[in-house]
Amino acid sequence: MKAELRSGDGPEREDLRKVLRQWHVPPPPPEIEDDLRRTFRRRRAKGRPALWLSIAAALALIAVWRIGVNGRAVTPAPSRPAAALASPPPPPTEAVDVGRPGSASRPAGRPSAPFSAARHPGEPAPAPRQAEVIVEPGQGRLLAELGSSLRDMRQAAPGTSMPRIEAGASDQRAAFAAAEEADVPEYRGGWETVAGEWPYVHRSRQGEVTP
Amino acid sequence: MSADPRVGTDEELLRATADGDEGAFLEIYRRYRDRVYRFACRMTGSADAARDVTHTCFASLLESPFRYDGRRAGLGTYLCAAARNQSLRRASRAWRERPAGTSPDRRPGGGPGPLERVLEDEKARIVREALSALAPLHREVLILAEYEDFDLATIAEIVGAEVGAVKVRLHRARRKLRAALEVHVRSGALAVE
Repeated sequence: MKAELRSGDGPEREDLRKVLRQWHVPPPPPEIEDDLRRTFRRRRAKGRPALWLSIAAALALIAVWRIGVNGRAVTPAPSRPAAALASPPPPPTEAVDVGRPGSASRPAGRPSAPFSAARHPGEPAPAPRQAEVIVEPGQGRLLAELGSSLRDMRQAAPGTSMPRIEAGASDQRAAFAAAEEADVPEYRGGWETVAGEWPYVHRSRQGEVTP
Repeated sequence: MSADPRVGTDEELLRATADGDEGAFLEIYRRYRDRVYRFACRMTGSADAARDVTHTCFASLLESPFRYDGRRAGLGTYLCAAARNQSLRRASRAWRERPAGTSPDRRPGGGPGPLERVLEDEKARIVREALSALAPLHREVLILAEYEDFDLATIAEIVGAEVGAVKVRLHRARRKLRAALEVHVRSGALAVE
C-alpha cells in the first residue's frame, strides 16, 4: 500500500488501467481541422491590413508631433517685443565720457568699456555702470554745452525756458571754451582714456589702471 | 528551418506558423490533436465540448505563437495545459451535454456490430460516470496518468502543482475510482482484461 502511494505502481494499478481503457474515445472529427484552417486563413488575411494600418497610424502621429514641434520653434518668443520696449533708458548725459580737454580723442566706432570711477576718499558712491555712448570728438563739446544748459534749466524757476545759445561763431567758441573749463566734472577730468588697449581701461593721472 | 515543415521541430513549425505557413500549422495540429481531444473528452465528458476545447487550444497558437516557451516544456504538455484550463471552465455544464465516446462519435461505415457497440457504450458510460464523480483536480491527474501516460513531473507542470500534491491527488483518485468501479467489476459489467 505504501509502495503504491509512493510510486503509484503495482498490480492494482494495472487492473484499474484495464478497466479505464474500456472507455475508448474516438479520434477527433475532421471538422476541427477544417475550422482551424478557416481560422488560420482569416487571421492571416486580417493581420496584413491591420499591420499597415498600425504603421500608417504611427507615421501620422509622428508627423503631427513634428509639426507641433516645428510650429513652436517658428513662433517668435512673445517676450521679445516687450523686452525691446522695456529697454533701459539711455544713460544721462553726465555719464558720457567726453574725455579731458586736449586728450587724444577716441576714434569713432571703438567700443568703450563701461565707465568705472575710482572712489576718492569722501566722495559719494559712484554712479552704477551704464552703457557707454560712442562720442565723436566734435560732439563732446556740444554735449557738454547741452548738459550745462539743462542744469541751468533745472535750477531756474519753473516755467522758464531754456537759455538760448547765441548762434554767432565767436560766441560759440566762447561758449565751448566756457563749457570746457567749467562744466566738465572734476572726477572725469582726472581720467584719461588709454587708446589702443583692449579691454578699454581708464588710467588716472597717477597712472593707476583700472579695468 | 527544413524545407519540409512536416519533419521540423515544434519550434520551427511555430515560427513558420507565425510567418503565415498554413502547412506548418496543420502539421502541429496533426501531431497533437489526438492527445488534446482525448484529454478534453474525458475531462468534459462531452464530444461537443471537446471539439470546442481542441479548436480553442490550437487557435491560441495563432493568437500568441510566442507565448509557448520550449525551454520550459514540450508543446504537447503546453497544449494539454491549455486544454485542461479550457476543460475546467466547461466541465460543470459539459456533463449535461452529449457524452463523449457514445455511438454518434463513431465514424460511419465500419466497426463492431450494434450489440458490441451497445456493450461498449455501456462500459464507456460506466467508466465515464465513475470519472465524473471525481473532483476535477482528481480527475485530471488520473486522466493524465492513466490514459496519457505522463510522468509525475509532467503532470505537475500541466496542472500547475507540486509533484507531491500530484501524488496525493493521484492516490486519492485511484482509491475512489476503484471503489466506484468495484461493484461493476464484480457484476461482470466491466471486465478486467
